[in-house]
Amino acid sequence: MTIKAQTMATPRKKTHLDDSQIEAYCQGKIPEPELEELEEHLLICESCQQRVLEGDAYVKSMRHASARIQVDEPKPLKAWKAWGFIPVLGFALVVMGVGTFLHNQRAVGPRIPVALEVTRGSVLAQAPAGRPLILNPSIDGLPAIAEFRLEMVDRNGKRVFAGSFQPGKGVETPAETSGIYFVRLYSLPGALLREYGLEIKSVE
Amino acid sequence: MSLSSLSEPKPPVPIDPGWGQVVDRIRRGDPTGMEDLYRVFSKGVRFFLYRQLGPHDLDDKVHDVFLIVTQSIRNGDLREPDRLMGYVRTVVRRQVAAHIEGAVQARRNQTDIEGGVVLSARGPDPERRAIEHQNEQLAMRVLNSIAKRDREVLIRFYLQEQTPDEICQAMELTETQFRLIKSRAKARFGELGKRRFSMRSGYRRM
Repeated sequence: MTIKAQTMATPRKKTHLDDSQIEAYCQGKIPEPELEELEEHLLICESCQQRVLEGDAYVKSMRHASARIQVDEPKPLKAWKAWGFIPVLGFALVVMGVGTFLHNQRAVGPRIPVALEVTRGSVLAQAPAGRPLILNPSIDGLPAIAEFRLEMVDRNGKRVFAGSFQPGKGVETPAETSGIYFVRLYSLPGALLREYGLEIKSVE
Repeated sequence: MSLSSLSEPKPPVPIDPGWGQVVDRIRRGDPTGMEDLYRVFSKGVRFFLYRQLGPHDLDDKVHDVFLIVTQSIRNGDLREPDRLMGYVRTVVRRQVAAHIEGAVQARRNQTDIEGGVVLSARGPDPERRAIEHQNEQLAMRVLNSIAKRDREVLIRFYLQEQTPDEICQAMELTETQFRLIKSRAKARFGELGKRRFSMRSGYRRM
């Protein structure tokens, strides 16, 4: 394998990465010319390597904890609840609706946000079986693209879901049975950009 | 504020050994050139490969990159010896991309035999799983202990990956307030995890 070295000269970084650079790097938000400079420093600086690993752990923990918190937090009250005359009229509808809602809840339950990280042979993201999911794939290190194509396959490579993903907005996927799944992000022209592991487990 | 910066002063920036000279020594067959280059690989390249691909077969992957780079140097393919680290970075990135593509292809080609598939030998590492679980618990404690508005800021930033500008605009925050919310949360995380936080990662083996 032969790779010709790039000829573009970049000034070598003479200082350690600062905290905002570490955080941005861990989130994959450093643009290329600066990224090159930072990564060349990282190749030779153990101190910054350690700080990046700590930053990775922190960012990942916050992503996962945030996803769990979002599930647990109660939804804000709707404005119509403040209108005094509505409850009388709406009561009957609510009673009717509650029955349907509870039935649906038993069937599929609320949507579960899931933060997806790149599969590195580490811990797979986990989600309960039989629940619709809202997938939030980490896009750190990916080019700034407004919309990606997202595909979810089972462990045999059989596609179970396909849709589009816009950064910052989760993708809702239907309820699945337990098993190992892989979520893939593609650019719209169809180039595979990233794959994430997801373990769906049955919940008693 | 990074976790390590809470208590420790930063060490001096590593000195550039003059990569042009290192390349020259390798070309001349001087073993000290290989030693200097190997020092980078045992830490820096290892760090990148571990971060991108995990601990599985890490030594072999580091060795592959080392061979590619030294071969290129000896063949005279390196046109700008002073930019050796740029070249190493390029090789590492291509190797990472090739490994990921290969892993995806391998999974695509896998068939389910007798109802079960061996994904690979890279099952979740129990120690790493435990550390990640602990860290997530700490993050939960941090998020549960702060004001709801601050929590929303952090969720927008870390989970939804909104930009600071978007968050400040949507939540009517100044940049300073935004930074403060983030740094307080990180400091709290550091305090909670000071004793428990462990970075016993598997990448430092060489």
